[in-house]
Amino acid sequence: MKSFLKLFNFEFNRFFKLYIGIFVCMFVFQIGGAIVSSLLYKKQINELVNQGAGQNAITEQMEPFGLLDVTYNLYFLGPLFIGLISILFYTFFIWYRDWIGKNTFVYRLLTLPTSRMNVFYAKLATIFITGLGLMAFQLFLMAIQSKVIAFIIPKIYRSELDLMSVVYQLDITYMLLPTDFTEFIFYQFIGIVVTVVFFTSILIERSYRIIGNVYALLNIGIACLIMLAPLWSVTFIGYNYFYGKEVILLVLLSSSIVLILSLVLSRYLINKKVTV
Amino acid sequence: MKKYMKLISVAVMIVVIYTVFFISGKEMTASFPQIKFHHIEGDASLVESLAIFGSINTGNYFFDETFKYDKSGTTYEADLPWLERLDGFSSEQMERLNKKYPSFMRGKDNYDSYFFESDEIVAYVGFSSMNWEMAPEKFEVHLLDRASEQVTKLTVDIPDVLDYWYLDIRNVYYEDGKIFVTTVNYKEDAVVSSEYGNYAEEVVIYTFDMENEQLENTTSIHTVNALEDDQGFAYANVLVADKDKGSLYLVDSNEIYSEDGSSSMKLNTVMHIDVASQKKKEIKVEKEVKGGVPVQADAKDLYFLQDKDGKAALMKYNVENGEMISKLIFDEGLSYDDAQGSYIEVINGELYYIPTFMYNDDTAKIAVLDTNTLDKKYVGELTVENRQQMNEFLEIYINEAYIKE
Repeated sequence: MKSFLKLFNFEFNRFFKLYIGIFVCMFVFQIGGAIVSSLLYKKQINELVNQGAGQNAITEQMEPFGLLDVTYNLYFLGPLFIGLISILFYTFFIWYRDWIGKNTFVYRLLTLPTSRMNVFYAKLATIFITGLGLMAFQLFLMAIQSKVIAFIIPKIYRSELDLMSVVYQLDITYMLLPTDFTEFIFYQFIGIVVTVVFFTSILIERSYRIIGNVYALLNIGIACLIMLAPLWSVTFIGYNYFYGKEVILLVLLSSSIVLILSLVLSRYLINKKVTV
Repeated sequence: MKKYMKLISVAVMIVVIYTVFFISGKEMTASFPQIKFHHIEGDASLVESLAIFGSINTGNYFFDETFKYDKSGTTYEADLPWLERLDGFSSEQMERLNKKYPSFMRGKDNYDSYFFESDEIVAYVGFSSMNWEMAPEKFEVHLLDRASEQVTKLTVDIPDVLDYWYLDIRNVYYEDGKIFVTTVNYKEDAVVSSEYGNYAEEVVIYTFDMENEQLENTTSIHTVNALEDDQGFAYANVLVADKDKGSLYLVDSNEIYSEDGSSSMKLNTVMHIDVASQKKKEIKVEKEVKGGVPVQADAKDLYFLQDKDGKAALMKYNVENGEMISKLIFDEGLSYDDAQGSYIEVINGELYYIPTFMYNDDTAKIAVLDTNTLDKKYVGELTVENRQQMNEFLEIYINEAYIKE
């Protein structure tokens, strides 16, 4: 456990500077965008007031402004996607960076006096916690945006939908930040399984080199087929044969099978097959 | 410990933010519109067990939320635990059947009109298809014996299915070992060629003999011919009598377009159908009935929505003795335009009027009427309790109403 924690901390620190850079980028663009949007909206209100429009006329003409208006813009989604893509990219780079250069760092990692799977788990934990942290930070930013809007826009022109409602209503935020705890745990589990499948594919490639690319893609394909079997099987048994809870249980079961098989395969590859 | 500070900081941030997030999530729908019936006059107990389903839109493209309102208040789908939300809201009949007979209900379309229940059996008729467009090809007929929980299943090719563009199941009835399915089948009209999809509507009753497990009979009851695109629309209204699914009324009516852009209803034929024998009896209706929109049927009565100088009135027409009663739905005058498409249904012997649309700050009245005299037994108003706290533009749509047992 101690070895795992040390490796985990080490891997996390390697990514930390880029991670903070992503946070800064998100903060600047999203908060800046919220301020600019709010001020532009307020400017429109002021123009109408200067033209002599009364409060009722303005509220009829202008939709109330709120967090929902701010979140479906490039300055909100852009930094969020940059963060997500960075973590997705790092899912692969976290392994390949160890093979780059003259003095391959992976040699030192694999010869540490600890189980090689601790290296695997440390990288997995790094991806997991950075993903979770990114979404937690996004929530924090949305709370600040909500306060910024409340500060700039008068109450009568403001949408009172709160942060939770906005997260729930937008497909993109709801997918990443489900408001139900059970659903959240389910998606985190699926995320872990997908990351493990990617890691296994990387180890396959590192073990078998050129032909390993083909095997790696095959591995991803087979994993997808098994994980999604409860969903594509409705083509044959009928689109509403399973109740919603049953579909979730079946996806959990198929994902667990994929997870176990991938971990067993990864263990075999990292102990016996991976070459430096 | 110092070297772990960055990791610990991020972990603490995650735990704190998500904890606050999930705790505050429990109050999420408190900021959503809260629907309520506001009592104006009459017997409030008539709406105590009334439940309505609908959806709310705030005018923002991204806000569209499904709700259920009953005596416990407004419940949004967002309030449901995730695993319950996967199946969504359903009518009380479907909820009850899904709970009591989950194996029988597996794979079935959850439409009330596809089911028939008695003390002894539950019957279901739906469609199945083997093609990717999901156009119906076969009938799936299932009969559950409540006592033994044995299920008889029958899959039958739909006769002449290629003649039809679409089939719509309007009624399922069971009697003496046979299941009778009444459908409205849409087909290309023999005479009228339409660009906008005006189809002829054929009312058909299919009889399935469950003891011999076969389709026994196909009876074409009536065909409503399509109108030319610029003339209007033709409808085959199949009205099921309250509490007697073996008794149907078929109303052949046309919506005729006028040159000034308005439209009016013209009633062509009214007939009573005994489902089990497929005997039809044409009912002569008086001239005063002919301009109404047929909305409901009771054992011996048909109800029509009428336009009385722009105001909405209900007419009750007794098919046996021709007696007519016509009254404005609301004394102060609900416009006929606003009343069209409203939910008018006889439920448990009472006639309910429920608007299907409420626009922003407009009020929307509901009424319960005596089925014999059309006198008002209850008048209420649909309100949004927290409207003052919301600046958003509101549109409320009501899709369905039923009385909870």
